[in-house]
Amino acid sequence: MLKEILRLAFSVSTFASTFRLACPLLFGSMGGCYNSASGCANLSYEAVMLYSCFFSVLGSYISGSPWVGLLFGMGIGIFISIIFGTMSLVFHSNMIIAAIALNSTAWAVTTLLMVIIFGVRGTVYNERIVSFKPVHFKWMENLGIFNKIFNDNVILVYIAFCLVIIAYIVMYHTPFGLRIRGIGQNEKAAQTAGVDVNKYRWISLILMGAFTGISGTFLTLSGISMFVENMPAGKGFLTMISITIGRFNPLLIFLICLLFGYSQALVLVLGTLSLPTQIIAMIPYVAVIIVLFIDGLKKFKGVADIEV
Amino acid sequence: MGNSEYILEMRNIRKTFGELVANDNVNLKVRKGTVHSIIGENGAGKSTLMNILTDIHKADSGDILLNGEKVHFKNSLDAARRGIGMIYQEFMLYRDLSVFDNIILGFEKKKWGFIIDRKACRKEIERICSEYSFNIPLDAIVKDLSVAMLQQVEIVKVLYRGADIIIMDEPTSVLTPQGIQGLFRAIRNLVGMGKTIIFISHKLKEVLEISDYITIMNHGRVVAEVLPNEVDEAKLASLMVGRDVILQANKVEPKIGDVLLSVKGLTVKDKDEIVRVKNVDFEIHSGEILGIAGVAGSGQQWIVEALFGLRRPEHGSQIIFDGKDITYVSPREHRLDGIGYVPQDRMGSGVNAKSSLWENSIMGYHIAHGFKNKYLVDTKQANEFTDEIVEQFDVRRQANKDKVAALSGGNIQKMVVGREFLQRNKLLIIEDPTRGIDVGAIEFIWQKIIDLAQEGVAVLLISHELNEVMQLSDTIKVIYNGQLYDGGRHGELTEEEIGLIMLGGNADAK
Ligand SMILES: Nc1ncnc2c1ncn2[C@@H]1O[C@H](COP(=O)(O)OP(=O)(O)OP(=O)(O)O)[C@@H](O)[C@H]1O
Ligand SMILES: [Mg+2]
Repeated sequence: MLKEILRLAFSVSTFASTFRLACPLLFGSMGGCYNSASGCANLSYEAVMLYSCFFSVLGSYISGSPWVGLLFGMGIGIFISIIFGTMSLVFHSNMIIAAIALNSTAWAVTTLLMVIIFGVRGTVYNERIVSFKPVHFKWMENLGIFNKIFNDNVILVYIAFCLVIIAYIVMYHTPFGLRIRGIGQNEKAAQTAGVDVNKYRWISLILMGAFTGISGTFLTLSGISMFVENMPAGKGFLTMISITIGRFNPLLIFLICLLFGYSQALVLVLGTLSLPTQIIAMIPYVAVIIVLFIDGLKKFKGVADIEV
Repeated sequence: MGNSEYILEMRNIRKTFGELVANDNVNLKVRKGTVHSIIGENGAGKSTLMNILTDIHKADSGDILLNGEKVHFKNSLDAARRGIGMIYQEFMLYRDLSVFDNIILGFEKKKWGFIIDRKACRKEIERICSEYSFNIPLDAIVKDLSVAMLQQVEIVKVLYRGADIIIMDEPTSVLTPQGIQGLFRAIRNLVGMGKTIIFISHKLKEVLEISDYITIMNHGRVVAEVLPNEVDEAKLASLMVGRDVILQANKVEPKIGDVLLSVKGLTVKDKDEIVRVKNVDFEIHSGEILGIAGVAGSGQQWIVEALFGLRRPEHGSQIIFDGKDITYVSPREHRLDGIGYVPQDRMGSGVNAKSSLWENSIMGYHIAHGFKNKYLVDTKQANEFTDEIVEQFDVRRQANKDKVAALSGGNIQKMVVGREFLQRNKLLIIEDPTRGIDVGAIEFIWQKIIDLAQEGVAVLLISHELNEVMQLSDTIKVIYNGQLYDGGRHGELTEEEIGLIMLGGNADAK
């Protein structure tokens, strides 16, 4: 049994699905890291992702094109961010409460829309919903394992990986990234440096919405072409957690997303064995706890080393 | 450009916060290439005037002229572009960023339209550093640097932004004597190169040393303009406060009682496992004022943190207070046992600037004494206590429900000192109690410390002002490099002798 588990845990198909499963986390976290770095405690990833799942399906259903679905997904993501921004940046309401409100209404609203528009409950499946097609690269064919893991994915997967590099450059090599980090550490100092703090807050928030919108689209239109009630099922939270643990550094966030992707892949492959499914389903969340624990250990020393 | 003899003129500036008139038709004229000092009591309106100049606050009325031309700033950036740079009382730095990033943030040079051109920025910064003889580590992280270094970073930052007029709001209150001399060299250098400095300080000796012109403010008005060679310290002080000030503590014979606090073999390491305090022993009796003098960063902070339970001392250390071992107990219990604490970093550890004055006035004592009837905070009692602090310590505020952030720097300090002094504490640990406080109020706080000791309170006074330690303490200790050396009893050693120990003169002898 143990041998079987190990064989599956290190199999090519597990690694191949690791990358696919990390993608939804990658989009949200690469777009959202600026928002977090600017000092915004935004917990609304789950809501944004769920809305964009639904609207991407709707867009694809109406037009028959996954690209329109993507546009719908990003659009609704931005719209939800604007709602969040209006509550937190304009009316200065508590960000945590604003996010909880968004998260808890999202499930109800999407389910309601599902019944109104598609007349079904539980799952929306329809031939008119079209997914992205996998792309085949000829030059990869004789690269062995590399080919098996990386070839024949939807275009979004490749974009996600490029995004990591871009996000890193933006964070550490552009005025935008530097200013965002500055705002997060000392808002007043940034103000005296002539930085329009509010403008940067809004831009980073909209980036978060747009890219988490891609995450939602990825969940629905990267192959399965359907919408299921409460579809992200915690992936929004994992996105947020990877940003926090990665301390806004896109490369670190990338590694953590891979870890979460891998633990989700384990759930899939180990599900084929006759193990209790409940235990297997726990793996990603146990991974979160372990990562948080290790992360916390590093900081633990003495009583007063709380940075002021 | 106009060819006025003044680089900067502020005319009839008026600024009110609600009822309070912070600036009442203030006029200020500053000549190019000079050091122009502004002095005045706490809350006189100095910082407010400067905040108007840099457009942090908008004046209700009045004009600003640069080189004889009237200007209207749209925002702080605009003011910076016109060559006005400010170094704030509380530094405007980003702790986790490098010095380099701190300097360029907001004024980055770019290549290809969107990438920061680090090379070009670095060249510019290095040019400034060599032109004005600054030596700062550009790649170090800000939180690892000393205050004196951070101040240099602030100066280089405003120069990088192209400042011609540099405003320094109490720049010396955090510096060691060497740091101050370093700053003065830098200021003379800057002035020599044609820059103009506006200098705000409560230390009159420094003001006399560095200034070309001195403007004195009181209650939001300019009350006098003098030249440094026309006046002396006492004259300046009386102009400022409106009465004669004696810059001398009224030391009386102490009433020394039993040992209250005994520290044995105290060793403290920081989070990087570096030993900051080595095997320190001392005792304080009730009624005694024990002063620790020393250059900033010699280990004072670590001793205090260990004493107050903010940091765990190493094994073998022992702290006995009133017969009870408190080596490893929490700050909460220290409060309950009757130990008061005035921290050096008033904004970081002394107050919560975003809370109201009355909340801050009972902070730390909400558990210790009173202020609550069983479960709820007794706001009436808390307010009465706040009024008591305000009255006795002359805290200039509008209402108890105002946020502490709206108080002037010195008034916040007075509030913190008042909070700790007015409790029935047995031991007071005070760090730099008069930091940023005007001469009139210093006189008053010194007297309070002496009175408390007369009532039997033990006082541990840690100050970077050697004069303060020497005037107040019954017993003087000197800290150098994490170790304590004997500084004699009150008046036993001269300032020079103690100054020598502070710089390690006794390290070999021991
Ligand atoms: N943002 C604000 N809101 C309300 N009142 C304010 C505000 N800022 C300053 N004040 C008040 O204006 C007065 C002048 O304050 P200011 O900070 O200019 O004093 P200061 O001369 O710099 O004093 P210090 O020497 O203590 O720093 C004070 O009474 C202060 O309480
Ligand atoms: Mg001030």
